[in-house]
Amino acid sequence: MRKWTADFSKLVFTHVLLIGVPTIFYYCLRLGGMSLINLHMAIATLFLIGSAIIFVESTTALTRRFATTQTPPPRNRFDRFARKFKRAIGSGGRRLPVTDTPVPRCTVLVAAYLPNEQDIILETLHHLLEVVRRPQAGLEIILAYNTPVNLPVEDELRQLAAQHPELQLVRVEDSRSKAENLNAVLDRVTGEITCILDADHHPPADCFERAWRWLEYNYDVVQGRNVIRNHQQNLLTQNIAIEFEMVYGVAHPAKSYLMDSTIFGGSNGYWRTEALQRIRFNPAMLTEDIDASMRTLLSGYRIVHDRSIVTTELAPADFNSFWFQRKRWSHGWLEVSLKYQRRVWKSKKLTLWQKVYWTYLLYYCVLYSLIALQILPLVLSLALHPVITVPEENPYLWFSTIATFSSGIYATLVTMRISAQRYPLWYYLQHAVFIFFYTIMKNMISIVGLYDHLHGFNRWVVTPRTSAQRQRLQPVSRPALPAPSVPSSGLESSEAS
Amino acid sequence: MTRAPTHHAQRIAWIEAIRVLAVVMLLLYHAQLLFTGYAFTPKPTGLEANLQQLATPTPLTEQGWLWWFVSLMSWFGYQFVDVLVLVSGFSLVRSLQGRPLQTGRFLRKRLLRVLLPYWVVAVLAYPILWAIANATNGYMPDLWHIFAGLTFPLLFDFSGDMLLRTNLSWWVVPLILSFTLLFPWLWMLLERWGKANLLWVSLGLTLVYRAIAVYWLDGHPVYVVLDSTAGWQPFALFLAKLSTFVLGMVVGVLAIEQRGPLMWQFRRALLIGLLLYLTGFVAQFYRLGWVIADLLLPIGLTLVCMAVFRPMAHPNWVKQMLVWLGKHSYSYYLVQFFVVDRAIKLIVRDDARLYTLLLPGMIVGTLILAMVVEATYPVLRSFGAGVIRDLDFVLHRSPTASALPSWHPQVGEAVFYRGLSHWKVLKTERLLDEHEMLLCQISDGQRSLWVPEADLEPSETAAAETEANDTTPFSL
Repeated sequence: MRKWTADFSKLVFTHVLLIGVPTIFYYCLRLGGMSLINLHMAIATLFLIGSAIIFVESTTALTRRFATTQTPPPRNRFDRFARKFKRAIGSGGRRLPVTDTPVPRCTVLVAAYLPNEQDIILETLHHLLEVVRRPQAGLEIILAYNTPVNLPVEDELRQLAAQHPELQLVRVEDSRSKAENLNAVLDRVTGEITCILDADHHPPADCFERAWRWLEYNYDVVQGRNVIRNHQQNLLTQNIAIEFEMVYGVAHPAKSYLMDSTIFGGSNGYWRTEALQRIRFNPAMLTEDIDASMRTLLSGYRIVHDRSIVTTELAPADFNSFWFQRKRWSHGWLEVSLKYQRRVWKSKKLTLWQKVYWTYLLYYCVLYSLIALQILPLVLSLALHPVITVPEENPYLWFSTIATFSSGIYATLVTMRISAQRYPLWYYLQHAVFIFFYTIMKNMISIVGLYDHLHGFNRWVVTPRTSAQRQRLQPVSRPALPAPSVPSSGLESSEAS
Repeated sequence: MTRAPTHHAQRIAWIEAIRVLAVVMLLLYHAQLLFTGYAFTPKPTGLEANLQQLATPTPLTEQGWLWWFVSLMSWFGYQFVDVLVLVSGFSLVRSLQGRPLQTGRFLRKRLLRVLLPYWVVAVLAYPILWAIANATNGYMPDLWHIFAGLTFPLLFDFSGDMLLRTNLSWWVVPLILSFTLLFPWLWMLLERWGKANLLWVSLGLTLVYRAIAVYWLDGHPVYVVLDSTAGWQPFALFLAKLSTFVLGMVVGVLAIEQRGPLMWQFRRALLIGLLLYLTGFVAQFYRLGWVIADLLLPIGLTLVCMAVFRPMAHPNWVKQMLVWLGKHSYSYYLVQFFVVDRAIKLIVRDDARLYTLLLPGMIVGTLILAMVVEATYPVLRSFGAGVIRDLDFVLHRSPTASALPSWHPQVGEAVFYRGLSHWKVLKTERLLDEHEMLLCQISDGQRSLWVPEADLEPSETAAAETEANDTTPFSL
């Protein structure tokens, strides 16, 4: 298995280039008497924009929500007043009409790379067969997997398929990616709705009923919410759990509500089959899900995020897996940004605000990781200089600093309020403490991803799942459905393992 | 087999050694000129007077016999500019590999190969120069000359006059561009007139021009420091070195035919090389000699270098090292003056011992910077191409995701992928991307990858295409 330390030299090189060299550069300028305050304020503005977006998304996620089919009566006068107030300011839930038509025939597509996921695939299939409610029109489950060698688990799978005729097994020969696995079986799908899942995902029983409400009303893809079920495992998984709550509970729903546009995250996505069979997946892309999202939106289809459809998944439990997963996401987003940004600007299928939103998610975020980093050499050069002092009297810098730090804390608090699962309080506290370092670490990985992209290194590194990981899993707890909404931050999403 | 591995095979290790030696000698030459304040430059005062001046002690000659020798060699480092011109003509012909020249494709690739590294160096250099100037209260080119440097060749002039305020050695860049633009035309004449006729005509033209430059225009070679009406500029024009470039081309053609000087044995190459070099060496100290000196010196030097380096470059690891170093030679040349200029003015000043200590550091440091430039080059190229592509897409009145291809690859068909042959289509996948898009899984027998059909060409079309991008600009 590849170790993240193989990337260590790239990490050092990129950061010497992006921090060390600029530090010397700024230091030389300061020696010449330049204060660089304008540059400092420009970078602060970048942080401020990011903070403002986090505040807006978090507040939106906190106060507005989708998919409220039933509203319980007010508990007391204060509750009644609060509801009136929310209605007056345009907040509150969007009431969806109850569906008139029965859920049509559905298909679940599970993509798996078996050597890596042989320990968890049976559990997932049992969950699908036993827990997910079947529409009257029927349900089929297709496992599309690839494996370079024959595995004992394949016999067990065949036995399971013999017991459940609705389960089909498709071993995709010569496949090297999830995209190839999925493409190989798309044409045999018979359901009107197709749910795409990764091998570790456990969707809720009513997932198709919830998704159908959107698909029936002119949406083509419904993206659900993913939460981490092995969060107890260690500090890393605890942080990832809170991060996922922020992303899937706050950022994506808020953007979906504000802009009526969001992404398909690779798993727990419910597609109108007709659209999926046309869009398909691009095996050449590292994040085939984001690529498919872009093609879907640019082709005029609509995607909505419904955080009430909650699946549980496994987070990488060690730093090595985390490193390669995040590097691939980062690299993949970069690929997508370079490929689609200009087309977003010219698209006739997107509104102006949707274009702004996608520019924020694509180019802005790529540049952000590079430009935001420049705060470090600026500060370092300041520390090296014997005379020039910190511009501490500058209120704008103070304001942006406070806004930046408080936005992270606010987003964490909102996440705590609307999380799908009830986590111990100290998860949030430690996340609030670690978020700064966690963000820096993700930024560092992004930069190595950028380096890889520029040098044409785009080998897919599978996120390993160990048997130890599986053994340590706790029984699946039912998420608290549907939680009101929450905060936003990053744009991580690509779920493919 | 793909063409990629053959790129390395095309490079001749000892030619790369000459390139590397050339750029290092030019670094030593510039360093010594700057350190000694131009203590010696050839004058048209005769051999004896120049030798006497060379014998005059300098702070460097007092550092021991080794430094005396290095110093002596370094005074004549300028001679390698013409060596690079000769090698350039040779390498460009070799890069054609006997296939017909497609002028448009050749010019596009060659010009980018010359200009992109130049722009990368310029983009990186100006901020650094600015920072150093800020920190040391030192020299910084004015904004007009920075503009000229960054936008070159917008303000193109044949002698690179606008570039000299930034970097004294950049005058060569317009010369490289001139020969790049001339090459297709010279190649056409070579095929039309034959090698000998073209060589004689170019030799005649060059000799006449150089005589006019010396006696009529009152100019002098670039390496001479002298008050004259036209100065060095007549010798910066490509005409002054045309026959050297054409000779390189002719030798290149002969080499493909397994004939010519490249087939000479060690003794013959060394003897003729020394003879020509010594004649040219003496000639450079006479006004009449200026007409022929720069024609003889590169031939003599190249033959001597060939005789020395060819046997040395036999071991595989030496070949690989020389090829690797040779790839950096152009960037090395572009960067070297910045390094020696700032190192000598800011650190060495007039300390001879420090100079001798730092000189190896300058040589290695320049190589490191050249490597940084080469590493940065694809980044800036991607960035620049991305900006232009986005801008064009946004401004285009009716952009499409991609032009609809007239040809669709079929499963089992042999195709070219980005100019590389021996790929076969294994599988296809049709996706929706506003319009229908065909993805193809291709394999070269060792690996397979998915690519859009736009990246593929039918094998018969692509096979006819030639490549002009295989050599460094110091081919040049």
